[in-house]
Amino acid sequence: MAENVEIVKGASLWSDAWKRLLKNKLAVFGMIVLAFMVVIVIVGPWLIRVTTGYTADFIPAQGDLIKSFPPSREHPFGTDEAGRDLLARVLQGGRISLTVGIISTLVSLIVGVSYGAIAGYLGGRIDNVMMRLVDIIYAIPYILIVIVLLQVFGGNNVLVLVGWLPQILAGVAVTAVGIPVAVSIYRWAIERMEFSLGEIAFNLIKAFLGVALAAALIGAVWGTASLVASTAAGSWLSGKYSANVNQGLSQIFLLFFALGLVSWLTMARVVRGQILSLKNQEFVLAAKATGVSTFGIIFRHLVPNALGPVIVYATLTVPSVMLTEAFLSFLGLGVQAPYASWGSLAADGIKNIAIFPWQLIFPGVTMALTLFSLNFLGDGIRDALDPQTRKF
Amino acid sequence: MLNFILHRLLIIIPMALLVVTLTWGLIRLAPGNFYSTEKKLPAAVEANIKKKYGLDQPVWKQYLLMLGNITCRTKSADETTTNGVQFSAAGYDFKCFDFGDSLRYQGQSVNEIIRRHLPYSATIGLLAYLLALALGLTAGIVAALKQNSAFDYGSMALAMLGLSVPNFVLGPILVLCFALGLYIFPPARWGGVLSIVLPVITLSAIYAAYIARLTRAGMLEVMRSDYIRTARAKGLDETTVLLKHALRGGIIPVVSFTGPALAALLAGTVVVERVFSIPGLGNIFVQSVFNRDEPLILGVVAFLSILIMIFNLIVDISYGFLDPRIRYE
Amino acid sequence: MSEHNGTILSVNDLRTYFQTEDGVVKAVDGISFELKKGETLGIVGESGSGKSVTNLSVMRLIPEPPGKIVAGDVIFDGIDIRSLPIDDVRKIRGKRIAMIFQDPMTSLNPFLKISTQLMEVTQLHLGHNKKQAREHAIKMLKTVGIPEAHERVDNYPHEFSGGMRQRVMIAMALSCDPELLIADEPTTALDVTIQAQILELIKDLKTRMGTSVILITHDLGVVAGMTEKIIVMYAGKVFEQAPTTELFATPANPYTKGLLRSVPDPAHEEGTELYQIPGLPPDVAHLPPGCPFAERCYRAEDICRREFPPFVQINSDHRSLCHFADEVYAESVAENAKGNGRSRGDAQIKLEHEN
Repeated sequence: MAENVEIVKGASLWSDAWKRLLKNKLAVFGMIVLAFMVVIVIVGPWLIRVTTGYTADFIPAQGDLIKSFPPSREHPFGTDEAGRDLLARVLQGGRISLTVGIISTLVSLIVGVSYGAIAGYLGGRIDNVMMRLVDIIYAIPYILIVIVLLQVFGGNNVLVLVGWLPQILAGVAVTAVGIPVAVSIYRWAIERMEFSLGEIAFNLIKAFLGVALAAALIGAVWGTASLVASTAAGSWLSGKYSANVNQGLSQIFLLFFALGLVSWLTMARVVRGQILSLKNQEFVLAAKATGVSTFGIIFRHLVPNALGPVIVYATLTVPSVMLTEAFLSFLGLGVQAPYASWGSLAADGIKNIAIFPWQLIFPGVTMALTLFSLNFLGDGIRDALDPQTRKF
Repeated sequence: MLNFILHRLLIIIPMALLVVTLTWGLIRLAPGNFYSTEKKLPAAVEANIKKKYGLDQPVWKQYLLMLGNITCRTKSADETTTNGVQFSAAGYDFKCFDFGDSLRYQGQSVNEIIRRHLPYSATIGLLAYLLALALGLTAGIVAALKQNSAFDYGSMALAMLGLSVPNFVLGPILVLCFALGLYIFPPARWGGVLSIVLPVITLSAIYAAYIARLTRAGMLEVMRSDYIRTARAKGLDETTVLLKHALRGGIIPVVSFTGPALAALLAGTVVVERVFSIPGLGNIFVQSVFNRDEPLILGVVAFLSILIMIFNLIVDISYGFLDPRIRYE
Repeated sequence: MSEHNGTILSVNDLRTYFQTEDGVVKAVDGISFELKKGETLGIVGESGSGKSVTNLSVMRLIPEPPGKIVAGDVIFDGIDIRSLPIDDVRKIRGKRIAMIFQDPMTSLNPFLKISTQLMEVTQLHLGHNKKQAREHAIKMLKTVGIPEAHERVDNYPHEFSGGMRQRVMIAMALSCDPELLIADEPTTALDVTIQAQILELIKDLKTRMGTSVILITHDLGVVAGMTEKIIVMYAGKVFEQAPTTELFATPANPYTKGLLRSVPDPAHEEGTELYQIPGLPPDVAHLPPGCPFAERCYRAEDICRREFPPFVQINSDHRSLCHFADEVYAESVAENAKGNGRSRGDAQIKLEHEN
């Protein structure tokens, strides 16, 4: 009888994708270079300090004498115009560039995934409104606003922002609690309204209710923030905070936020699309039937299954964010002294390109190489997760 | 379709106002101002300045005044400004789209400044995108046709490079090689055809790269579809299959890309103008932000937002032309 | 145009292999069949049996990397298709051999009007100018039963329903009055009621225009009413070849018998399980040395797993690939004679007449 049919070993999506990724030579190349960069950027500065005593901001006593030296055995990347060892600076800059890239991508991931998942899952009118909002915001030239944001709140002024932290946190907390509350109130009210009012009146009332709730939410946020600011405890917190915080690091945190702002929109769209297509599948029905809460369904069941395109997009966002940071550094709005990133180093290097080209070339090439491998890796991940797009 | 266009056009003005409000809010929220960047001025002088620029009024009043100026309001007899669009109707004088005078560049109105510097940016931006389209589409189509060939690998590697080198690194390197090294092109300034070659190439590089990759991917996907198989089964030759059947579907990703690309092009122009010392709008904008020149900032932001929204609308309309399934009802 | 005993298509030992990252997939591995003028041949098999690839090979539509016709002959009306320069093959495609595909939504170009897609065939092959091509297109649409053809000819594919789209495809295929029509699962993507209509249409057109037809499907009900002879494919090989009525009445292959048993019988006893061939189709990249069906066969013995079965000639038109072809045939004859309801042939033919 035909009973000895072979049982095919089920391979999970991830192990399958991993195998395909490894077969892609370019992606593997990207991974290796990237791994090398990460290692060298973590270990390098320490190694250099221990062996030669140079650090990223070490200006030797006779700084004047070795200003802008070309590459030599002593300084493999040469020195910058203050006499600092360029190799140490590039490695230190790498730490910051990569950190900024990854964390900003994480910020845009968190915001985008939450927004998209909620829109996709709640569906219907709310999804419509949320996505219209995204479409509208999409039309705004973000760069302009980011430039203004960083200029007015950057540099010395970032401490003012830091001082506002208690109010900002209070506002975020109220928003996070307020949105579900407002949505619930809206739904509860809609369900209880009578349809005998007629289509037009009904829609008008719904719109009015929506706007009223939104205004109430904004008022609550603003009110809480002002309250926190005006109380003695609030101002004491602000003062204490801004006194103890490092300005340069705060600037970097501001950068995370600003850069994350630029790319969350597409992430939200991608996630929403995925959730929409997954929402009606049976495992969701099963979860509902066993009593999983809405929040649970969204974040424990739907999101893990929507991860594929999200990962692809995230891996491709990192290089894009790093390029944006470089652009901002070029304008002087990115990472501020004493910290440096590849972007700011390259921007500094342009000044003397005719005479000391290495000051631009070394940070520029390092950055290009890293972005190169990130892009290949991103491509490889995309091909591995979606074999339809493979070269066939 | 018409409804859709109308709806989008109508939404542009409120959107632009929203952007302007956001920007205005940011500028006002922050510490610092345009007149005391270095030293602190004596109280009397400061009070005078504030009065002159209407900064002693309550904040919400300043906002409404600004809003009124930007859109349309009645003009009182003692206002001597000739800014904006002015006309008379129903016995009243109206003044619209007045963004005021620049705070930094004394005596020049914002509208005038924008008008003066726009042509430079527009020329470079447009030429750069056209170049990117020409290069990217060609490379992408050929790479898709000759998949896995040397050309395919080579052009895609080059495209990858284009995505990985920041434009402010590429620009100076090009200058180093071709202007300072080989004396073919002038290194900076604006004048003559040759002087825009390097800026345009620098600006277009990353877009050419994106377009090449998108086109290749789009074409590959289309070439794999069933209707291409049908076209071949009917006996059509490869050129017809490519140009008549495959191209329309294959370039759709590029059309979608044009929307966000134009917005990013703005940022790119800023860099190129700085590197090549071109007096364009991008440079003006960044300078105005550094100077806290509020009227100029708001003017440029409003103008650019509207421009981008109009471009996005054009892109969406052409999307409808390309793909008959998406004819908005 | 020479006639070879009225044979319009002759396929001999056709082998089409694909190079994949899993190894070489022998999608079609030694297929031979003949089609006479005016005849309708049915090719039946599960997914992955190689039936579609066979027909794409006939028109040389196999994408060259990764696929390749490695051996065999395809002789169409005396012309050796394989050795023809590709430009000449294109002159035959659409004109003398036409193909319709499974999913009309994806098989029609969504960006072009139906008129464009219909007109380009006759403009290319019959030299029509725009006016002639357009009139011909409208005429074809009327022939296949599209209402208000002169208006709808300027519509886009997405403005038609599924059944209508397939009619459009048929109109497109028959525009140049081809000698051979290859229909690759023409009704699989359609509702059952529409299926019947489309099949009727094909049958009708075939009778009127004298076209030879190859009908590919996995649905035995479809071939029963439409074809004169059938080949059953499995794992890239022909497992059985016979005239239709004989195949249904007295199959000589365990696979065919399994297929026939799997068709739900209206007279089936309530409460008993429906029959299904156990197991799954084999991985065509890694075929065992013996009979590819051995694992799932109710009749398999040691020799089946070890040795590749021979192609046994049962009678003049009936062949079967099996070590025990004669025995299986004998069993079928016996069952048929008893008429105990296990014979599918009668039931099928009855169904056909009711439609």
